Amino acid sequence: MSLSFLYPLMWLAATTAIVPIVLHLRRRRDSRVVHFSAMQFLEDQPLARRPFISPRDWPLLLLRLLALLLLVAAFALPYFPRMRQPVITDSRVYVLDNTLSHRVDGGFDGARETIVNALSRTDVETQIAVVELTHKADALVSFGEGRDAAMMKLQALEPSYQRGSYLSAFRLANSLLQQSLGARRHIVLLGDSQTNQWDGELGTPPFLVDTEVLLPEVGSPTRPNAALMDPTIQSVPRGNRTIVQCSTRLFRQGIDTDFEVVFRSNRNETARRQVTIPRDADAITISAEWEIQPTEWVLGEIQIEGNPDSMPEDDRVVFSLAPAREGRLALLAGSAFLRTALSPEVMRGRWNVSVLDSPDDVSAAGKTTDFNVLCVESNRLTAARDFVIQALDAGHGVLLFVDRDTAVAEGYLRELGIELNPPGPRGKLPGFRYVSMEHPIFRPFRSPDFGSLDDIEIHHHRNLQLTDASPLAFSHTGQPLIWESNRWKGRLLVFAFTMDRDDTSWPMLPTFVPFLDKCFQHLRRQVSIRTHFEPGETCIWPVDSEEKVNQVSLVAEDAIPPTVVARAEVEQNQARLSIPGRPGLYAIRYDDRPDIAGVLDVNPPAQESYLSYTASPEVVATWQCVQTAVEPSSKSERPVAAHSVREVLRQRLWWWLLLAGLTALMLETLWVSLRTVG
Amino acid sequence: MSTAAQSKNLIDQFDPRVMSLLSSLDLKARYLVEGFLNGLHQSPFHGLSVEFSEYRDYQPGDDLRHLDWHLYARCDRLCVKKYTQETNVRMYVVVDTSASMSYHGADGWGSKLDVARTLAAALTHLMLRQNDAVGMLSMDQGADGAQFIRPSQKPSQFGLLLHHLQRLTPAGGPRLADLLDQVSRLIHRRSVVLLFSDLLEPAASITAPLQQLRFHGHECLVFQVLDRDETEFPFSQGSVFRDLESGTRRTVDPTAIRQRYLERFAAFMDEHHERFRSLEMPHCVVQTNQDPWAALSMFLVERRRML
Repeated sequence: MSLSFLYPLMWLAATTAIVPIVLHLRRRRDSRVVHFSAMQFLEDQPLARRPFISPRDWPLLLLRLLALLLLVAAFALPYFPRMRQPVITDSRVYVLDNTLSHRVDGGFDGARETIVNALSRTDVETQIAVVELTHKADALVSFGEGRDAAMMKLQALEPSYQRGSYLSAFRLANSLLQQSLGARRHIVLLGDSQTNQWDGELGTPPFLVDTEVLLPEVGSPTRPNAALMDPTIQSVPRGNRTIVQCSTRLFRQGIDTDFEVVFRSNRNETARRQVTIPRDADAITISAEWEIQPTEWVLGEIQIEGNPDSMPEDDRVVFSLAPAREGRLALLAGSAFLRTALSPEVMRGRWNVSVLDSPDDVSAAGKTTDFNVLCVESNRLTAARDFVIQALDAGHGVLLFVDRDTAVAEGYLRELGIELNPPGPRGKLPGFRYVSMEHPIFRPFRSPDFGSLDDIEIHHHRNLQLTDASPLAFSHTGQPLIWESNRWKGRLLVFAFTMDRDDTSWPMLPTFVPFLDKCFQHLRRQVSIRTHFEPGETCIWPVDSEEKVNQVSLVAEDAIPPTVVARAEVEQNQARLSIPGRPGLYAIRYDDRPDIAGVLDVNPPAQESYLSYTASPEVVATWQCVQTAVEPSSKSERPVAAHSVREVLRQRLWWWLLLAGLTALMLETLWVSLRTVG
Repeated sequence: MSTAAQSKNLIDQFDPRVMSLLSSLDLKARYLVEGFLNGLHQSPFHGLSVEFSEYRDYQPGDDLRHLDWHLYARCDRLCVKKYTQETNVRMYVVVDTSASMSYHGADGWGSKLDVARTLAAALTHLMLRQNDAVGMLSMDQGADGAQFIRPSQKPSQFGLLLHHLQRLTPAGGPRLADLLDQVSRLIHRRSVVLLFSDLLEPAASITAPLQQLRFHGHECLVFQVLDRDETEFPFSQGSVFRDLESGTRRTVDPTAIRQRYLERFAAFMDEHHERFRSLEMPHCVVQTNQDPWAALSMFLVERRRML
């Protein structure tokens, strides 16, 4: 193995060896030479050959030269290079799929091992980089990075619960290849090639130029799996109790139809369900309800037990419900049912209702605006028209029951964007035919325990037509019965009927009060804060300036004891928090305060539960394009970068030379000292 | 080193007993330089330092200018004054500074130049004490010419000469002939020349300059300084001999060559003796292993006897 030097110019310092040589030559002494003055009497003697100019003290001179050369060699940083100067021919980027679905059957571990083997066995003519795909693509290992360091990074990786886009990973891989040295470029995907990760990327224009894409082999196109997803929870007042309705969707794929699902709330099991999914269905919604204390946080989970599947990580979802906060409601209605439903005995702890009967009451309420929601019948618009509009402009929610279709009312309604059409037939009619079940006010009806909309009869309603509004429920004749208008700063729910027995049987049903509460909760003006996240996302948490908070902490409530997993400083009344990579419930706390400011529900990405795979996604072909054949650029002949100083120092050859040089100097010093003493 | 310190170096070498011995001696010029000696010759320079010596009765024929008329008036006695007129002698110390003078044998107390310096300093002291003017001439190592110090009898002349004697450095090849030529060129008045050299140069090269000196009336006293290694060739081990002046190196087996060397050396010395004898130049050989004072004393005694 030949020896090379990192700084060969340092050898110029070896010219200083002339110094000891000259010194020794100057001090040379002819041995056995007599300097005589009467040479004329020896003229017949043979002339002596001039001796070779040899320096004095050969051993000492050699020792000094040796020390000098060893030190110069050490500073020149010698090393043993590789057998030959390699030329980069291939550049390869491994896309390591670190999404939740790749955990199945140890896919991530196997892929990581593949890359580690490639790093250790691939020759130096091939550059290797690694892109890790989680919720975003990240260049884990760059070209030119040492392979030892790269392997350490890979070994330190943990499987994630996140979901990411193959497109983002391929784009990042492509950008890395743009700066690579090899003429041949490859992107090797080490993932499960999940079908829904390829979907939606067809419209992407080509960006992979002369790049070979190697896709993983897909064995079975699907894998059996069961998953829980989309948990919801809401509280419903029932008399003087508060009931929580919790539901989730149970998904299955290629697996048994019978499941056991457990609901837990605040570490207590609250419900257990034996569920059977029809064979012709892939998913059902499971719900449960239990009583809670409205002033306490509800932190819970739903879990499938006893049914092993390919990916158990999605067999659990978490949920949370904030304590109820009493709202303030202003009531401008004469309906006895409304007044009774909104009486303090019924709405205790949920709504503080102010009944505005007189115009003075209305005027006073308009000045103070000390309410969240306004509930008004259209017959009160004459006296409260300005008050209603003022409330909507101020961002307060308004629930409007249209009870009369008089000309005066028509004019006021028109100002609110409501047009009255000729009324429909009267009689006991079925209630709703089409209802927006995803809307918060109707979501409780998804649980059969809550009640059925079919039980509701609508005897009479108005025909309304709204602009800038969305109908939420329709009658059997196709007439919109309930609207939500977004025309104003505050939300406006418009009912085409009143809550009187003349119009509907709803007040007689147990769902009446809970439904009203849902409507008022929906209309309540409050800052919408997203609390449902997937692992790896970012939460922008708003902080009220009146709270005077400096720092926001994210605490893992699942851990025992609870552990702080993230912190963020409050800047411009908000804090930017990174959602942890592990699903669970995470409480928001301010500074060192013990109370919980909010809870974030972090659940596995639902899309990751669909274990369907594609061996040859056609989208990949749309990303690729081939340029016309060109001569390989000189870039392919570019050799690897010279050995780094770190690698050379690691060989430690310079260390031994330095040590030997210093030892030679010590010996020389000792030698001269002994001679001087002698 | 200051002039005073250099002078002290040489002076320190002077043994007090030797100094007392030397002080009783005087170096008399054999040949007249100017004037006369002991009244043998009339000095053409009146008024020069003549010294009244004694009276003697008038004899018919004496120069009437020397009658002491005052004495006749007082004592009615006719007497003639005798004067001792000692003419100041100019003396030059000439030192050979060729490289061969640097030779220092194992037995010598100093190099040949050291011995020459010592002898020159001693004689300088003696002559200055006699109120003789002393100067010096040597070959300057760096320049082409000679280093010349004008003779003087001032007390400071001794320190000056000692200073220059101390600074003499042996170097270069044979230069005695050039040195003697310089003497002839620079010294116009009849003087006494004290030559200190080893004379290890071809005899033919120095004969003519010496004759020139003699022709000009200079009295030349030659002190030949040699080392025992040169006179006896005591070497035993085969070595490479390197000439101090030319640098020539020769491989020599001393035991085989000694006899021949001594014969040649003896012939060389005989030649010098004969030459100096013919030129009537006193020739004193001083070895470096000898006591220089003893050699000097012997020389001065012998010379006095001769005079």
